Amino acid sequence: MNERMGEAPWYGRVTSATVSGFTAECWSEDTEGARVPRFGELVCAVDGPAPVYALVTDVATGPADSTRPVQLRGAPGVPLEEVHRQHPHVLPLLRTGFSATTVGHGRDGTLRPSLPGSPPPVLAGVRGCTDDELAQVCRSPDFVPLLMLTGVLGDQALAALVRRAAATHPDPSGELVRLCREIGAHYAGDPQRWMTLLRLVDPGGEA
Amino acid sequence: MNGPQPASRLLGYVTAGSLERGLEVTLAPETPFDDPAMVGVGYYVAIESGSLAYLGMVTDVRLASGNGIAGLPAATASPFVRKALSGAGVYGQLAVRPYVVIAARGAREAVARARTIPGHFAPVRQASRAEIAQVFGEEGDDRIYVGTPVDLEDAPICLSYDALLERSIGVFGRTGTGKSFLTRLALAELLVRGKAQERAARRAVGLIFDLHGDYGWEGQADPLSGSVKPPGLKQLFPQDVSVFALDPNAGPAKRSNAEELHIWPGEIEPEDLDASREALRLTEQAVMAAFELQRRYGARWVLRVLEEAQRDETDDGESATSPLNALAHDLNFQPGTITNLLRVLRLLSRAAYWRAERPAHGTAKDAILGRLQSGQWVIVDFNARLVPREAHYVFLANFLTRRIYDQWRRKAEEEPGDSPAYPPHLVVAVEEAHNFLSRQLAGLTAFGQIARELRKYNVTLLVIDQRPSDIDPEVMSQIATRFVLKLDNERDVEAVLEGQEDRGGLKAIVNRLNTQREAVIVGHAVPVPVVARVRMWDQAEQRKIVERRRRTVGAAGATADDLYRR
Repeated sequence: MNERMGEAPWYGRVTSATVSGFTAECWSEDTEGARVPRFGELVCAVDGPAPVYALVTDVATGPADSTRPVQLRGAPGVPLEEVHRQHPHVLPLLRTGFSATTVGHGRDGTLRPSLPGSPPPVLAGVRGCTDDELAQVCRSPDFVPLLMLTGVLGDQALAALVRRAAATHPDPSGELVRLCREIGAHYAGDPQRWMTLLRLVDPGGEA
Repeated sequence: MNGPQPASRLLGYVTAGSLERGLEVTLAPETPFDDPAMVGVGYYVAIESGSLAYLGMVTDVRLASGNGIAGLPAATASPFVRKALSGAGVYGQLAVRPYVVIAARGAREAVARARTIPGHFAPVRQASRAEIAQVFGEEGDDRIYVGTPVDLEDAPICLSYDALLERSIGVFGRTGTGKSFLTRLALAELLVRGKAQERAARRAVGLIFDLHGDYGWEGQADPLSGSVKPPGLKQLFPQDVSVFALDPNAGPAKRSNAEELHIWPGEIEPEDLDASREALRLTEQAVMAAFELQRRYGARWVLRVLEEAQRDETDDGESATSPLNALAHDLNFQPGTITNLLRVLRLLSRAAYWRAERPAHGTAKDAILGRLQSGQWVIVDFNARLVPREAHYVFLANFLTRRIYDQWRRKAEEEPGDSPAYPPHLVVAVEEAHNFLSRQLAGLTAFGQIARELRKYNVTLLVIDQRPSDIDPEVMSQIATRFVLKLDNERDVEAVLEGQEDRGGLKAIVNRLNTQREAVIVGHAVPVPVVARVRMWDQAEQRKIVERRRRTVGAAGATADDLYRR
């Protein structure tokens, strides 16, 4: 959590976008200050008419050229670092990217829990968010229906978001319960799914 | 007009309901509905809605869940999941009956009957002391403090003296629930206030038929009053109360300086027997025979019949030509009918209260009437060895009440209501009232007449009973203010709540009353039903009531210190 206390890290740039979400490609690992976001992390596409806040609902890594799949390298039992050392040309051919679902946008200096008027521009920079932004997004989780459309990934990402948001709150367990109750209203029609979400969030659970 | 106090705690929000069925209130997730300090049946709540504020009562507490979520096995798995679901997927609900509007802009009356209901999401809060005071007022010369709501210990429930006397009162509860305690308290307060009234018609006197010797001198030690035995009315107000006892030498009666209660048979009329028919086990034919005998022998018919019987005994009573058999034949009754009547007259004549000769200084009936007319309260103490006790009690109570009521009626008809000679309000308190007010007898007894004629002649009843279902429903409907203590029998609960708004909700509350010190008060004297914790009557409270009386009359009563200098 330390990096959140200081300047937010940079994750990449938008490669395609709609108002309801975007995909972005991460900078390579050796780019200074660049990181790969975690699943369920709140990110912000900062360029464009309004900053767009989105929840990372998938993170993908693979060959930059999809027509050239990566071939198997390294014998059984050889550590990954050794494989990279033996085949240094492989890493530069890989790309990491992520998908994010919009949860709000900034306007007049405040964070609104609604979709922006336009998508973030392609190549807009994407950074991580501060604890304060995380708290603002979670204050009124009206973005939940949009996340629910993304199915299981959305539920899992939401669970991660809730746990992180609660962990930064002065009353973590109280906040966790409050958020779950608020979110529960959106899951009223699907109690089994809500129960799954609660188990994912449960600090004493296995998830 | 003040709205609900901000200090009172939010419980939840109105989510559904109707004026007819009451409101559904969904509890806020943070409301611990399993905490008796917060939520319970019989608790008052205040509901704000637009320009109105309502006072309502919780009549039920329910658990609810949406979409069957509570049935999912995982819901019980983890404390966190249970907590997160509480107030969201599963929630508590209250059934609330909004009775009165306590704050309406521009309203002429401070408290008005609710004619509409609060809107959706109207916040529901615990009622505050100020709101209770708005509805029940504060203790004073015209208001009697009886207890507090079960959930608000510092909010006095006060009942109007006038409203209590306007219509008859009932105190109902099974044995050991504190009926006598509550009645003693009510009588003492009525006495004090009755004495303080300026207009003759607003003053009150009481005629108390005391079956167990509870009201004259100190009663049994009571959990409600701590170690102190609650004092009787004679102790509290020696100058205001006379005690007539069947056995003036019995402990409490002796301490009360009780006068002897006796009866001269020359005053007995067949109507007295008719009114007590059931308790005396008299047949209808025997009563008819009594009327015939009165017609034949005049006012002293009872003595004549007993004399005839005496002669009969010397003839062994079996002979077909015995005087009694001849009499039966003469009157066209079966000999068994006369025997039945005779059995009853002998039963009465064997009692210690029977005086064959008219007492030179007047009868007890005349003495009692005189005391009542002079403004004294009279306790008729039946605590004596009499067999069968119930039969004597019913007969004597009927005998006295019929005559006293006749006098009151005559006086009320003669005098204009604002005349200083108009009779004061007479409260007739009677224990085991079903003996006088059963379906079969209510039409025959003076008690039934008093109940039916309302306050036409400035007389009302205070009935004390543990079997209200045995009281004639028509009479019950005239018992306008009811103090309902714990009752066991379903029929009794039904009977005491008959005619009340939201009977179902109140029934649930009555069924859950604690055995002691809790009462539901419904009816005329309360703008909304009350679930009250009956007030304590410790020494401090007793001193207060004595001092209140002294303020009215100067030195007439006992001083507060007199009470404890024993």
